[in-house]
Amino acid sequence: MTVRAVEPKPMRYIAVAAAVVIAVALPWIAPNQFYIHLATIGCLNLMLVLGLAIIARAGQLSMGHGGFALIGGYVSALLSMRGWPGLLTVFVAGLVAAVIAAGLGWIILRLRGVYFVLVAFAFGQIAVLLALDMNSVTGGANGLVGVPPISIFGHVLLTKPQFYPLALGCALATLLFTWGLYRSRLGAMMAATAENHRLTESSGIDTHLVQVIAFTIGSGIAGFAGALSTHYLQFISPDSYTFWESVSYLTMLVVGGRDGVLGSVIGVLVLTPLPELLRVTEGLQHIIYGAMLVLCLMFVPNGLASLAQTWRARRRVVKTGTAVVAEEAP
Amino acid sequence: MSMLEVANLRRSFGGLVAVRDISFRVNEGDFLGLIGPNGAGKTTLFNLITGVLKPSAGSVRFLDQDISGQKANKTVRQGLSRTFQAATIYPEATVIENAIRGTFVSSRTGFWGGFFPSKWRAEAEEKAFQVLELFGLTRRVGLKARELAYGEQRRLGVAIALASDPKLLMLDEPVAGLNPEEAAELASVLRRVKTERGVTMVMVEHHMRTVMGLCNRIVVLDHGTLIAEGTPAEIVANPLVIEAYLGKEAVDA
Repeated sequence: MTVRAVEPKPMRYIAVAAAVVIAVALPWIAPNQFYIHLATIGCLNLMLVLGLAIIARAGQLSMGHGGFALIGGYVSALLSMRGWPGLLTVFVAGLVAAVIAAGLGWIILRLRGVYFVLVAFAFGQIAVLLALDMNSVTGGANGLVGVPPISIFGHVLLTKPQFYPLALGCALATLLFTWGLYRSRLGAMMAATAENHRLTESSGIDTHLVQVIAFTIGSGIAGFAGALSTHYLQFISPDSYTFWESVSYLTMLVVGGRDGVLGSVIGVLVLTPLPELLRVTEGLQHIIYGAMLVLCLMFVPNGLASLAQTWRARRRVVKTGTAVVAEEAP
Repeated sequence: MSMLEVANLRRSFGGLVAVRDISFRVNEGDFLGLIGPNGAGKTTLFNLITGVLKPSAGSVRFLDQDISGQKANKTVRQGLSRTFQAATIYPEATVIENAIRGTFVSSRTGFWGGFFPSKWRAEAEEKAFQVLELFGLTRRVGLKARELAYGEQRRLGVAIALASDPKLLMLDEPVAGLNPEEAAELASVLRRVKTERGVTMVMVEHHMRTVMGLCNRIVVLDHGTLIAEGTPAEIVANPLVIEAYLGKEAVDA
């Protein structure tokens, strides 16, 4: 007897392939550069949201996520302004953010629930304040202007259509990594830790270590994405990643859904362009945005991605239901 | 050979001494019952042995290694697994996923080998399935654990603990809240696990019929103190035990 029904899912592969094709072809089909800009921001947001999703997978909520993006942005900006190649500094930025997260996580991940949320929030605030106060290094409130763009083999990624493929590639790589992580043993340990940490501990797993690893990976991704964004905009300031950015990543994650990678993608796809689409309503946009969030949380508390899962589960119940009836019939 | 050796174990919470200088041993092949009235310190003793709580004094030795105050996850890796009274399952995960999560320790795939999904999963699934078969849960593998009947949830809790291939399994009130038929069924499963897998067991339980039917030795606690130790027959006849459960007049009568 097989434990899981191994059925091919051609529809899912086709859907994924189609989405990737559309994303790749975007520069040719977009009516103007603004759409490419929006798509680039979406790619960067997706990486940040996936980083947050990985931490949430292990059962913790990081309200200081923007702080790691800010650190990554400044590290990469400062190094590249001293002549380091941008392609190297974005990885250094991710590494620095990851190392800080590992150290901080080792200490504060003993806290659970609301206490961790508060400490992570404080960390995000401290990162912003440091960026403001360390005038000589960070340029204070003015930030750093003229961050050099990334160049790959001599091609300088200066314009929007030039940068977009890099952002898309990084976002897809992060997506693939997260998907693999969720299916790995470590991913299973993370999910188990989130659901019942005492029982997981009694299954021989060091739940503290699992959470530190998740926090390190997720925050490292945030640092990397923050660095990419800094080179894209050629600018970073303490206002680039404040508490409100952390909140918006969390909103995308919750509205999209926390169960798989699909939720993060949907959350980013819906919420990145939404403020722009609502701009035509002139002045009402914040009210409509807020109302849509409240409605989402009320009616699809597990995220928009859960709609697809509910539908699939319903089909499965119908199928197994008939199977059981057939089996038990004389 | 003694598998678990508890020596002068003590734990106090502020002024309250919940476990007072308890010493006993569990031999290989034992099915030891740990009984006592409510508040006797049974669960505290359990938590001290399995590393959920740190002892104030005394020592716990498992397979000739000192494990007192050691973190729970390390103790499990040495072969001492336990169940909980409540919250013994992952309610939102499927039954097979629940059992798979129990196999994390016993799996032969290393930590990094776990990054290749097909490799670790097939192995873990097979092992999980074997354990579920033992507990009669194979027809439920696709359901979420919270969708199971209460009795099945309790069985799943024991299955998760057993999936780690322990040498010593400690059960905290496994039949609590079960009806007589379910209790008898779980007892027979435990007996089978014991003979088939050679797992030594310790059980905290109030259900006397289960304890008397399964255990070869019994330890009785009252107010944090060990008041009696012996075979079921000796324990039933022990006046101290009767006094602890029924009061002094019952002994005099």
